[in-house]
Amino acid sequence: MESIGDLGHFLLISSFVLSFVSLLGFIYHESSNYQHTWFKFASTSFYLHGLTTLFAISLIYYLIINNLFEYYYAFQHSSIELPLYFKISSFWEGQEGSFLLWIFWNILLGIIFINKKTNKWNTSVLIIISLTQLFLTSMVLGIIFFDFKIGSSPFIMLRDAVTAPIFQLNPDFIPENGTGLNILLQNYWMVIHPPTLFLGFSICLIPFAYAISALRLSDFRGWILPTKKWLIYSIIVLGIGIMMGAYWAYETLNFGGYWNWDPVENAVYVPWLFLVASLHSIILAQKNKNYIKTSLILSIISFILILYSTFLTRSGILGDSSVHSFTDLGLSGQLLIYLFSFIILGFFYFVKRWNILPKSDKKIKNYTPEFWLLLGVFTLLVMSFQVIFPTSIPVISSIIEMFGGISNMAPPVEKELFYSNAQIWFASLIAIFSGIAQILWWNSKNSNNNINIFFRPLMLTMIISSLIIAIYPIKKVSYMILITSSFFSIFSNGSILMHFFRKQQLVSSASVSHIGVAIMFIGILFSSGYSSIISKNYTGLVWNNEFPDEVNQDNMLIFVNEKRKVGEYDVEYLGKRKKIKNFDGFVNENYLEFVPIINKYILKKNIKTNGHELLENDTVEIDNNEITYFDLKFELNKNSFDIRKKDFNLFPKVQTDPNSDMIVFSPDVKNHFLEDLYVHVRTYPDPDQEIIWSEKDSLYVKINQTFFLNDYVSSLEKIKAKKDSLFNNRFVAEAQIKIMSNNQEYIAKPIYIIEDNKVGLVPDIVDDLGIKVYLSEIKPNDGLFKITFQTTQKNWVIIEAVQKPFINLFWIGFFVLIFGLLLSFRKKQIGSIK
Amino acid sequence: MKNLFPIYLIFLSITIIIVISTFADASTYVSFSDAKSLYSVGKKSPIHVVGRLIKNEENQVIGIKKSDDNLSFSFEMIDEEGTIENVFYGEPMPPDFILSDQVVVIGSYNDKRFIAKEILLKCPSKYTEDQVNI
Repeated sequence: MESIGDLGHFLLISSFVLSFVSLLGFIYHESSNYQHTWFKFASTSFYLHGLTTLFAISLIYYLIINNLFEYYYAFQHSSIELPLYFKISSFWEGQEGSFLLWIFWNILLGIIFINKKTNKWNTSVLIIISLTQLFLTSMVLGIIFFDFKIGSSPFIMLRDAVTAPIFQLNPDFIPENGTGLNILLQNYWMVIHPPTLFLGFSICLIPFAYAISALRLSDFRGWILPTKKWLIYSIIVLGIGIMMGAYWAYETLNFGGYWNWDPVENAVYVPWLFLVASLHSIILAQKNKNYIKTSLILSIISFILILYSTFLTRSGILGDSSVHSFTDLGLSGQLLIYLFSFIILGFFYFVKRWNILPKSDKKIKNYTPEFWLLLGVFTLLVMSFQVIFPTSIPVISSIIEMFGGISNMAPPVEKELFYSNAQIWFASLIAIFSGIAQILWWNSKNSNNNINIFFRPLMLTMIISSLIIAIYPIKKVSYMILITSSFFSIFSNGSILMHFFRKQQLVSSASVSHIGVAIMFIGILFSSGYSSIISKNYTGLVWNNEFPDEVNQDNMLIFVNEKRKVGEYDVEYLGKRKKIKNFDGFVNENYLEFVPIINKYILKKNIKTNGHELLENDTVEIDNNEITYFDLKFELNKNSFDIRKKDFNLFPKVQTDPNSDMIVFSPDVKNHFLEDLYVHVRTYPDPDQEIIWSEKDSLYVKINQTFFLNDYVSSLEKIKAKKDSLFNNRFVAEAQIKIMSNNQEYIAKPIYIIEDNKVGLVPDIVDDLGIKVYLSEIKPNDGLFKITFQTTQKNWVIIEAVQKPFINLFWIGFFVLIFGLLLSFRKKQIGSIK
Repeated sequence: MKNLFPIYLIFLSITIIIVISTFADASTYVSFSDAKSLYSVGKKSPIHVVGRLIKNEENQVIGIKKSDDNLSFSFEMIDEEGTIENVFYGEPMPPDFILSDQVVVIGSYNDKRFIAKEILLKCPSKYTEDQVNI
């Protein structure tokens, strides 16, 4: 099977060579005064480059899907049990795969530009795309060149990648299973988030390519409109990619929120802000030639920041400061070369063309719309700098150390406060500038009545925001300012929308986008600034003396089938649940009878949800045996009047990984229109811990007799006697005992075995209630059965419940922003150049 | 663009403020012994200590003590100077903790031991598995 690996390696090398050939081809096409033969040559090589890459990617999929664990990549990222969609996403878990994903999107972009009308711009853009492909494919080459490792190949064999002793004994050893996809990543967002993010990365290349082309071709006019269009594309796609990650973090990763100011998050946030700044600078450049220079610089830096973020996350330099950077694959040198090549490329052309960069005598006058727009651009830049500079502390330290200095500087400890406290001011400025600039922009023709046009938005802002500040109440000054400026942005941009709406003219896409951003600001402010823990411990009990105070105070312990007050809810813990394949809803773990087949169980009881029914003794397959759900029933306190919330159940979950002892708790979220209730389990009784059972207790009962098992009303429903067909001399009796606890029914099926006058007892355990039941004696003459039981503590969970007010505004605002950006593609909105 | 000069000046000064405040708020990487002496002179601001977990021959982490309910735990860590120290963390054990090798703890000493406010690990997703379990 080694031939696949060799073929794959060969394909990647061909892909690398072909990207070089197409690069040369497009350069010759340009220098030969656009001879068609050269274009044909170059585009054919580019297509071949695409084909070889696609073939290599499908080979990796072949390895993953067929579980060929003799290959390191399949072994490291996949495993037999993974469903197909996770096998697909295990491809981009590793660095090599994610580089290939990036390469793949670039190929599609290249094909788009090849099929456009041939002109100097498209050829020049294709030169840059091919150059990028040359660098990117070199990352997955995996060849050693004069002791210098170039790239890391996804096709290496396991035995070449690791030095495990087993390979000395048996070089042909193939592991039976791979190490699998990390359980943190086993989520549907893993399927769509990375491809979107990398598509965003790819699209950022196009504004860069146009900017470089403008410099190369000394044409500073033709690049503006296409760049504007591609900038909007990149803002949309990268924005969606980032928000998917945010939602993923919010919904499953249990980071407690959607944004954590982690260096890796910062590293994509900053280029995105730069793209937005570039877009606004280009809008300025459409009116005033002086800003062409700024736009060129910003478009180039945006892409360089993408490369910088790639360097940060993949070189291992953040190893000490980030939770989710890749480990160093020994590629940091190569990444640095890549980064510096593009910096030098931009710098070189800039210096070369500096003297002929367009200038204009037209100056921006103070307090014109352009002036406010420019302030907005500056604010965005400073805002980015405030994030990227502290994030780069590890890089600064390494540079200091490279020159022999000593630096023990570490990133700020209270990340959230450090960044949020600064960003909130910039956000306020952005909201204010976006409002002023928009109003002046559309009113500049008849701008003698400046006071008038601002009057209404300002009045509305003052009324609404002072009402909110007074009623909510908001007491922090920075929050007051952000809320006021956000409402100002909403009302002033809104007044523009109204203005156009009355005239039934075009809709201002900018106004819509700005309103979206302002709504997001309000959502962020409330959901983060006013999130409140409602699972305060009012019982006066200390869960554990060893816990820090914070844990004892902010979490609630709930026993199974018991209620505790959590905020305005009564919360009842109903026990552990499992999910069954092809069945809606959750099933009580107690109804699943163990059979020695992986993931399979026999039902102890008929179960029904939504018209779907499963019968007793059916064999069912568990969706994922490593996931357990905790059924928590939330009921509104009787004394609180509230129409928005009915009773509901939440199912936070825990996932364990048998290979690694990893335990991952994921929250469940109840989405109300005005707030989210975010609940996660902090801990539960360790399933592996040895249970200490009480002394045995016994009683004699008849069929259908009601009795008490550890204070639970129980009854012996039936006894099933069966002769074992395999063993003639064996008699087996199985009792079915129903145990009731707070309207929940549990079933225990202890077994009594006689074989050659020897008696064997197989007890059944009702885990949630902490009962172990034996059928220990049968008196056939009296119709009496002896039930013996032992007890232990019943199950419990410790939960944390957090209310996040108005978090919906954050997501809604984002959709409005994207909608606004999409509106700008209608013809009139891209505009023209003055 | 002379009329914009004051604006440039304002933004330049904001930038300088950012740089200065970053350096002011930046934490430091120190060893346990330095951290101890910082504590003894009364400096209690959190610092970073880089180190590794102690493992036995079978590559299992040793020295971990979980509380009964798994809500907190303590572990032994050896810093870059070779000092072994017991570190307490008032949160459940991070999911990928025992998989990791190098860890960074952020926190400070109290009277008894080092209390970590935060633990940083290599992301398990990207963690290179060097063992082959048979």
